[in-house]
Amino acid sequence: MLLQLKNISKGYGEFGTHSFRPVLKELNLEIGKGEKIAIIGPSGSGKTTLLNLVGALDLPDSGEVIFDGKNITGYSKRELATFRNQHLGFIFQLHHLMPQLNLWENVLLPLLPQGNSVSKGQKEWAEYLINKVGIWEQRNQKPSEMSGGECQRTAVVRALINRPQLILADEPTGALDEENAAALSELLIQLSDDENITLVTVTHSSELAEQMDKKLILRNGKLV
Amino acid sequence: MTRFQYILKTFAHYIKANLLVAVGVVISTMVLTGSLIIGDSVRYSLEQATFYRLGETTHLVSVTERYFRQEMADEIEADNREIKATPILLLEGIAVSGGGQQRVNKVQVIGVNSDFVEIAKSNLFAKLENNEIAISKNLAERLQVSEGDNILVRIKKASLIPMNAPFVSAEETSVSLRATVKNVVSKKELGRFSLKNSQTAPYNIFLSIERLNRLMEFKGKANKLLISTQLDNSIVEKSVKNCLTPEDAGLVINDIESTNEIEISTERVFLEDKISKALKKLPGAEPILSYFVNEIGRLKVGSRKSEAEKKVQSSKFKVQSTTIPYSFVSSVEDRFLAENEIILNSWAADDLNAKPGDKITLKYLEIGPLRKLVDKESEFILKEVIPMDSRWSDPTRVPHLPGLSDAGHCREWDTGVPIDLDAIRDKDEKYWDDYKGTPKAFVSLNKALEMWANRFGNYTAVRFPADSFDKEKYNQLFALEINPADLGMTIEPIRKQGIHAAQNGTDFSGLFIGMSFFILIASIVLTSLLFRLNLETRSAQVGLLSALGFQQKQVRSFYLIEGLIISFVGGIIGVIVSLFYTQFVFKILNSLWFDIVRTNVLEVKILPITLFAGLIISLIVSLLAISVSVRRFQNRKAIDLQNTLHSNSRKWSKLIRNSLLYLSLTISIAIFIKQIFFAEQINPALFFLTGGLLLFGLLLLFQKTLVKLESHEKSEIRLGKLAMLNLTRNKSRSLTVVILFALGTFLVVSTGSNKLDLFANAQEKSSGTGGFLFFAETTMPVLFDINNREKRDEEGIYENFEVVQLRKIEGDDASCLNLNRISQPAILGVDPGKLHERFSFAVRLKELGKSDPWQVLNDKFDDGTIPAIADQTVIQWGLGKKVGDILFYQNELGDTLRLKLIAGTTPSIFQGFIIISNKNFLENYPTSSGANLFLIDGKPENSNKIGEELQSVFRDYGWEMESTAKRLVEFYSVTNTYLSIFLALGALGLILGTIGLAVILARTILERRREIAVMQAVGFATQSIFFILIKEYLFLLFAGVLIGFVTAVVATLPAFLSSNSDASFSTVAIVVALILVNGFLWIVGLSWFSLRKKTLVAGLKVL
Repeated sequence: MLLQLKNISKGYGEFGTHSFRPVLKELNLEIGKGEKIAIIGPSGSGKTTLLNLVGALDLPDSGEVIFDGKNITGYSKRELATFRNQHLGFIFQLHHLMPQLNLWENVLLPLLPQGNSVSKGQKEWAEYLINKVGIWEQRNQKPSEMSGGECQRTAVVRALINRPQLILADEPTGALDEENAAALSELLIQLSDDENITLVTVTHSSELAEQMDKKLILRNGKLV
Repeated sequence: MTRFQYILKTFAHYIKANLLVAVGVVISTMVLTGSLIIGDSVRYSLEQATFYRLGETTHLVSVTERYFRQEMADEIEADNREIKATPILLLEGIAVSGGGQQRVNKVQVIGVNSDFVEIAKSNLFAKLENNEIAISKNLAERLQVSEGDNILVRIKKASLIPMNAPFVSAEETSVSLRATVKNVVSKKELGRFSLKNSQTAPYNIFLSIERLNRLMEFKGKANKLLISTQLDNSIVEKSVKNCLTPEDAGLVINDIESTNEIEISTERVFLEDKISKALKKLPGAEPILSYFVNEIGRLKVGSRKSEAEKKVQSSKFKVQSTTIPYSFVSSVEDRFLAENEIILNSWAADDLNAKPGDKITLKYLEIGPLRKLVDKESEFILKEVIPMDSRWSDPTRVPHLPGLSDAGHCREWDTGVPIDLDAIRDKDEKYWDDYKGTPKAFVSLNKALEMWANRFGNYTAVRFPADSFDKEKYNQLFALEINPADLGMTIEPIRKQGIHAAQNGTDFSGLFIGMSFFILIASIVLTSLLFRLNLETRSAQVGLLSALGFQQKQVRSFYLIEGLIISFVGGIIGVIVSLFYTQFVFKILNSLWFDIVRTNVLEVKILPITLFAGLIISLIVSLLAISVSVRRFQNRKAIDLQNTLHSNSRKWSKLIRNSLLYLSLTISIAIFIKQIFFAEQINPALFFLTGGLLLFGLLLLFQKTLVKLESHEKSEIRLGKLAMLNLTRNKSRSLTVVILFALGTFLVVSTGSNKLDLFANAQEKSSGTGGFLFFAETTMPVLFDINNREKRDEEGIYENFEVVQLRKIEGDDASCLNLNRISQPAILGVDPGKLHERFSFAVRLKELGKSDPWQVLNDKFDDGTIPAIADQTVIQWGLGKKVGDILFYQNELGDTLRLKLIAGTTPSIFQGFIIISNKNFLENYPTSSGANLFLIDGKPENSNKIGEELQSVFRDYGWEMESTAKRLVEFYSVTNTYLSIFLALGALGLILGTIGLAVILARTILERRREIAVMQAVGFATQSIFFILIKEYLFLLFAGVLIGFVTAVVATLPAFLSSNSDASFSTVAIVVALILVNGFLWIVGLSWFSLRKKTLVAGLKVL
């Protein structure tokens, strides 16, 4: 078991007042290693909140998030940052590439929290991934000089650079046209298979959801 | 790629935004470093001015109103080879040229010899002969003369005898010299020679010391020794003491052959107390006190005059046939006479037809300050009549009095007191021919002391039997008993003191930093604000970095390093710009703001360490501002993420804010009500506190209103409400704008209100003029009472006015016109009764309660400390002291004079002086001659006539007069100039604040492009959106200005209420209007600019 969510609750606003709005209620989830899971649900059902909790970007009001047998809800901010860096890869709906960096530098960026330089092995790994997603030619280009699909593929490579155990993707194809969306879905599945990486994606795309091992629906704060 | 490369790439990518942030740093660095350079430059210039005025002088040996031998200089050099001593005779004078067209008062007339060349390092002084003079460049310019021209110099008459001493003629107060200008001396040739700590150049005339001695009828005398040595002051003191001789104290040894006695007398007529006490220690000493009496009379039985008769005859003596007019009377040892007994010589006894047992009267004058004459009379019983060849019948028993002793006839007497020449009989002339001043009567020493001891001394001579007098022992005794200080001689390390005064003078760094306070705040806020905006545009990046596993600390360090780069770039540019800024400020200081420096010696001095310090300080400040931005930004991000976790801490901060709000408003209103309705006297400090608290409270109230506005029911929606709700979108931005404008308006309005208009109530006694019409100073002292009716007739003064005459002991100018730090300002002696209920007091000792501080000026504290009053500005800024502190002087008698500041006046014409009572003044400076300072009181409508008459009568005294109101304005032009600078820099800060507002506005409109586009898309007219936008920002602008204005008016209400202030609603209204118009233009302009057609397209694209 890679990830286990036990009785997770999360809401917004001031607890105990009328402004408090519960989003997740006593939610439980178990994800095995190498599993590919799609979380779908209507807008406002708490998909992104769930992803933020799994990605250690936010903390639950109650419940536990257990990753590889360790409860990460008690981690300090520093430990959480290291955890995200070492074990997780993020892909967002918008690529969120650094406009000041070129493709190559954007890909290497997640290596910097570990040290102030990039090793030869890390560079070779980056080169391999960039080649694999077919954007080697654009390695010196800045995001403003690349297409949306190229930017999103760069974001995928950036998510894989630290060889994470879990990739969290929030609407990864949401900002792409149909053709690019299909290609990116295929790429994500293939990389997950090749590198044995667990993939959790929040999506509205039924095409992407269909390609996953499991499809979970979030409704009224619970997974069904 | 490394982290630093990432930071550099980020910096380069956002270069435009970063450079905008750097502008704030440039301004703060410029202002900060500029202020430091200005401080350095003023300090450096003052130090240079010290070197220019002292030349090679390191120490000064000085006496006031007395003189020592020039040879003392050679003796000191011989005593210690490491000391170079140069004697000078420094007097005051008036210089006139162009047949009286040009006249300069208070000129230093300096007698120098060839040794002065070493002090000045200029040969110009080597060969000044006869009537040749060298004059300072500024004097040449004022007199409009050049080398070869002739000028008239009127020099204050120096006298070995104190000018106010009894029976000293006061007719000749000045000596004239028609001199040829041989050289015009520049500052490098010691043209600015001065022994006073001041940056203002004196007017100097140099001539040969021998010539000056001749003019004063002296021989080989000096009053200052300029010492040049590396040695410590104590060693110089030792050498001076070693070389001090009885001659330097004015003592003279006379061999009285007729009585086989040796007499020690003094050139000063009366032996000073310490000297006579020392002389009495020699064996066989017989002190003598001889005095000039108006009348010796014999009382017949029943002829005692009634008190009424005596009063009628009080001033003029109607000498009857049974009296002898104008005679010397001398003392004899007490063992010969009881206190009520008298001895007459046979001539006098015969003249009076007196025999032992008869009652004899002596009528004499007691000579008070300003030659105020008091008639006195004593009664004796004739004990004995002595023959004319007795040993006491000796003309040498009376002191040498110029004008009396050397007169050929009685009618030629010039005694300094009125003489009724009709009373002098032929037999009196005959007596003078035969016996000169031989005393006609003798009283016991004790009785003589009781009658005639005075502030100049108790004895006129001390005699010794010739056979027991040992000159060697006399010299030894003098060396042992008399110190230089006992003769009023001071020995000071004048160069060290000058440098200290320069280094500790007015702190222009602090002043300019203070005056640039708002511009600094505005630039720092601008830096912080712009950096924050910069970060906000990249908020997604912060989230991404966090998601990628960067620690919060790492993310912060990225931004801080970026901030450091921005600060460094801004700092370097700022330092460069500060050099131009300093040059600019100095140009204004030498022109528009000249009032606060009053010298043209200011030079810009750039020290690398100062530039470095400026850079480092501004780096730290900017980085601090940036780190606050980063921290607040990160915290906000965290709060966004963890909304609920912070609810508790938010509750607390809300509670604290509310408490502070209610507390500050309640306290300020309470103080305000108490001050307005219940306080007896308005306290400006309390009003300022009220204003400050109110400002704080109202800003908190505004913040609370923003919060309320946000949480308010949003059921009804109107355009106006929409604008108000928009203000709450970014509360901290809205609050920042309001704080910036409130603070700026507060500072500008309160500063503007404090400008003083000193003409406003100048005629009131409680004002800074004391209700006097004129303030005058003379170069030569006036030795008589100008209020005396007879004296007025004599001098030709007919206008009706009263004069308060003040004595003066020279000191440094402690007014705000002097930039040096002063420790011993000039002391004024005044009759406190004449200032009763005049002027007002800003501070007074608690012990005084509500009593008039002038009333206690005649008193003394138990430990002998003397109460003193000064202008509060002098106390605080000139001296760096406070009321209750003590100032130390060395008085004329060599004792330490302790002056305790008991009160500080509100801005007054007394700036620069310390005031004590005449009584205490004369106790400490008994030989000081006459009055140099005058306050003239009269009817304002006669002021022109009074002024003209005084100018003409006292022209030769170097009478310099100005209206008291004008004098006050001149002093306070300094304060007002400081306020003007503050106002100018404050206004600049406000403009900067407005730019900040503009940036926020532009940024916000950019952020709201989508919203604006949507509004346009759903049919809002551009005009409506425009009004929503400007309404929002005009609200912030008006709220800020209103809060600042109201609180500033409260804070400076006393200034508005005072007629002494220049504060007028019109001035303040203009300033506020300018602020509003400036802000209005920016807001309207930018809103219009951002709402052009393109917005819709651009906004929809974003959508």
